[in-house]
Amino acid sequence: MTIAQIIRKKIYEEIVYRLRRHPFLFIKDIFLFLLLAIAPLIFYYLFSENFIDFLEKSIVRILLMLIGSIYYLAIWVFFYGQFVDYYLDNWIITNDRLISIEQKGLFMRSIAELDLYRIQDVKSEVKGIFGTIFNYGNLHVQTAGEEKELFILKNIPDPHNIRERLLDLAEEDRKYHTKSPI
Amino acid sequence: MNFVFEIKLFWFLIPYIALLLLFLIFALINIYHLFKWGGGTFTGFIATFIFLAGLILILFLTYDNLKMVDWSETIYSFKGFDTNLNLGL
Repeated sequence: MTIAQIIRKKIYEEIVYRLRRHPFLFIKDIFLFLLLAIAPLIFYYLFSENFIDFLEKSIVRILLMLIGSIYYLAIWVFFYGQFVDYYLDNWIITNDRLISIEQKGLFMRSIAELDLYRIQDVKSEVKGIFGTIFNYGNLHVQTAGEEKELFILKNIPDPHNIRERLLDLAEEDRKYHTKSPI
Repeated sequence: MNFVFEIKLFWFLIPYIALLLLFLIFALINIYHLFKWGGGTFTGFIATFIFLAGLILILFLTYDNLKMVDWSETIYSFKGFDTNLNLGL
């Protein structure tokens, strides 16, 4: 399914932004994976020097192979799951709508959207040392009306600029909606 | 009649295969999600290719290291009491 099919893109609609969390957050996952992958090898190296007789027993070697195999399969599948989770969390800004697509774990997926002309408040924030260095943060988008909705675009790159662009797009959309009565 | 309880080496394969199947199910669900909702991108394809290559490598290394093992070997044997009463009458 293409992104246009997922969001059911209208004929007049243009995709302005397709946002994901900042790649730095996925790099953190890569480091965690590498750490988890290297840790057993370090333990084995330290252990093998002192317990060589114990490790040379065939039963111990077989059990360690099975446990090691399951361990590496687990972290590999977990790492792939993290990638899928990262890759499928999208926020799409078109000239008409803001669409939030979030994958939550294996069995939950939420898709929500709001019309840009309904946007009332937009707040961008960059927090923390890494957020400041790599310029990523959250964007809070709130709608007007009785049923106020709050969209949070989490850890997106360059949130301040996107906030400005979003406000411009909302303004343009509002003009369009006031011109053409429903 | 003697009661003998033995633990065979292949017993350890049962939880291994159960966990392996569980991880494969997780992996398949993730692949399904990625192709259904990922927009069919090249990045998704490459990531899945690398993932599957890694998975096959881990399984191959495991097989290669364990292929000579005799899984029917008994690693623990417990002999119970003789249940035939011999009272010597």
